Amino acid sequence: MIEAVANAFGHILTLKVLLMILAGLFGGLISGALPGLTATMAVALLVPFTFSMDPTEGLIVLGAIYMACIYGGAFSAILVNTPGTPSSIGTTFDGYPMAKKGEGEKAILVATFASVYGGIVGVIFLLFLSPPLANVALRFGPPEYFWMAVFGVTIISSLASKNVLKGFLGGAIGLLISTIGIAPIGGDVRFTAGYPPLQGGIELIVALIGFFCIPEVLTMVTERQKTFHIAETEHRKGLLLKTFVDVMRRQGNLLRSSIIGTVVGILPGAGGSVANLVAYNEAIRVSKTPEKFGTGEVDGIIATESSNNAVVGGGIIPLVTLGIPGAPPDAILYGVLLIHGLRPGPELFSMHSEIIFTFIMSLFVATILMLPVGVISGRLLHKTVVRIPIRFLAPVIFFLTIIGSYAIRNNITDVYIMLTLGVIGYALKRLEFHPGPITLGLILGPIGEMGFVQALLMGQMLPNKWMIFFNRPLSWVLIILSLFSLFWPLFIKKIAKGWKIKEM
Amino acid sequence: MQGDRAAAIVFILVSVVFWTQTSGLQYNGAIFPRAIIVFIILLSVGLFVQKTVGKGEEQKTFLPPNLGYVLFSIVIVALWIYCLDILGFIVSSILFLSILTVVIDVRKTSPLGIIQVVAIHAALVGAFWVTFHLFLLVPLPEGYLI
Repeated sequence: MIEAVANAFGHILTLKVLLMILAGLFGGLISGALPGLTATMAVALLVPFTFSMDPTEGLIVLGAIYMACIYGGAFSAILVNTPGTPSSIGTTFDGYPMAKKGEGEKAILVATFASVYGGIVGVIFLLFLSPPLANVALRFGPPEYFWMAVFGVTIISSLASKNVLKGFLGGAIGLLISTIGIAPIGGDVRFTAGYPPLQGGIELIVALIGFFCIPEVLTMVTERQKTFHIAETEHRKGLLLKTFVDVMRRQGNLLRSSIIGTVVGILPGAGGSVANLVAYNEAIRVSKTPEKFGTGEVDGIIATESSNNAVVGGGIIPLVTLGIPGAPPDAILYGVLLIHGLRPGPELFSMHSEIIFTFIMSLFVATILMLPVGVISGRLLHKTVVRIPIRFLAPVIFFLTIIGSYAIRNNITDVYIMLTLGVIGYALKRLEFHPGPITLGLILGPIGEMGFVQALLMGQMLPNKWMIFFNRPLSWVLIILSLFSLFWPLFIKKIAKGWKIKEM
Repeated sequence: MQGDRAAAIVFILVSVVFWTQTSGLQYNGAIFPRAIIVFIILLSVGLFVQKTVGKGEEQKTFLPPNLGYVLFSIVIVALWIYCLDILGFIVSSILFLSILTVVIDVRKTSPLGIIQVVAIHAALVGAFWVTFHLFLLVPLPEGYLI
């Protein structure tokens, strides 16, 4: 692995790649600052910029965008009291009170140092956990792939929606949409209504753009009167070093929150939006002065910002080892890997180790570069972009969705499909169906179906073919994990309850 | 009948339509979608019952504020997509971006304001066209115009 890491650094430390990372960081910071534009949307909308790049460069740029977008959400949370991304909801609790007290710059610096710390911890876990997990995943046969799909759907369905039934329904709808087109085994043409362009199925990125971007931009249209009040910040000499020392003294909070972020990222679920609240709650629970939280407490920002950036590395672990996206933006990375002919999963390490290690190390470099980029340009950049009026922002996002969905296959039908799925997604959003389970269903559908049908074919040799799903140890591990995930919402509810009490 | 229960009925009806489409399929091609369809029907019945017996809050605000603007935006984007192959990427994008901006604007836009909006979008679309078409070599829709 040391050799692979060294080679990866060799690829990254060139002017071209470093400039690409910087461009990705700027793109991510701008997107993250815009309230209403989530990291998933940002990554999805900026995908077309990577089409002409090779897979490694494309992943590097998107990784930088993702990392910076999560960090950028903190600026709006602190200066405008509106989280730029759902991953920064918790940052408003203490960030905005600090800004109101005239400590906005300090809050931003705390968020910057915590984000970099969390990002690095997440990448370290990604680097050291992924290869052994991929080795285990390589032993998976069809029954295990089926159970893995079940596990993925159960956990994201239960995490990403307030109502578990709606979460499962969303996942099932995604699974059903994934069956449109030619069956993976047998070659039947299914659910195309006689329309030949649908035989190739629904292109994943097109569906992701539709489900994640269109509902958000339509929501923006309904909030067209919305304006933001930006808290003023005052530049103070020597604050950078002082804040750095202050943040680094809080190693316990930094490490705990980063590990929480990584673990939540690994579990396929709601990603940073859950992690930042869990970490915030834990920071309160451990603190000797819990009453200070919510009034401008540095530990509050450290908890939320280190955890949400740790989710980036953590969320990529199941993506590159099991082929399941850990957090919603990872679903876009999944689609990008497919576009470039790479199958997300354990084969990435055995067949494309150079690409994957370069991607992992580029995340590390992007996290480090986030520090100077954030400190030097972040605040000014965000004060500017937050002022972009919705009347310009919403049409431009529509514009980007059209480019993104067209450019994948140069097909206008894909753009219509994107809009149709987006409108369906908007209606479902109004009914409080989260797009996460739907899109994960879309991703896991082909994996699950292939595993299910192949396993049944394997089971023909047994007296009862259905026993093939229950007679292998690895299958049982996944069954137990699936059962565990069904009880996970109870745990989350308990934590959320604690958080709500504090919020009041 | 409101949001969630109506949605549950729609899901059941859609599932039935999908089920009928599986009748001519081979066993291997039909078994997985059928399992999902049954799952959706069961969950939809569960959602309907949950909302009927009152456990869980009914979704009451299905229709959004500014519904007219939402519908208008959807229609404009659909027209925009339709016109891409006719007017071309640049002309249709400038046209429909400008229409959307003017309509979404809370204030009443003056003629001068409209010219400004068109100019801003022309610059934006031009920049994107140059970036994608000339630098990144990513194909963009082409029509009879540009």
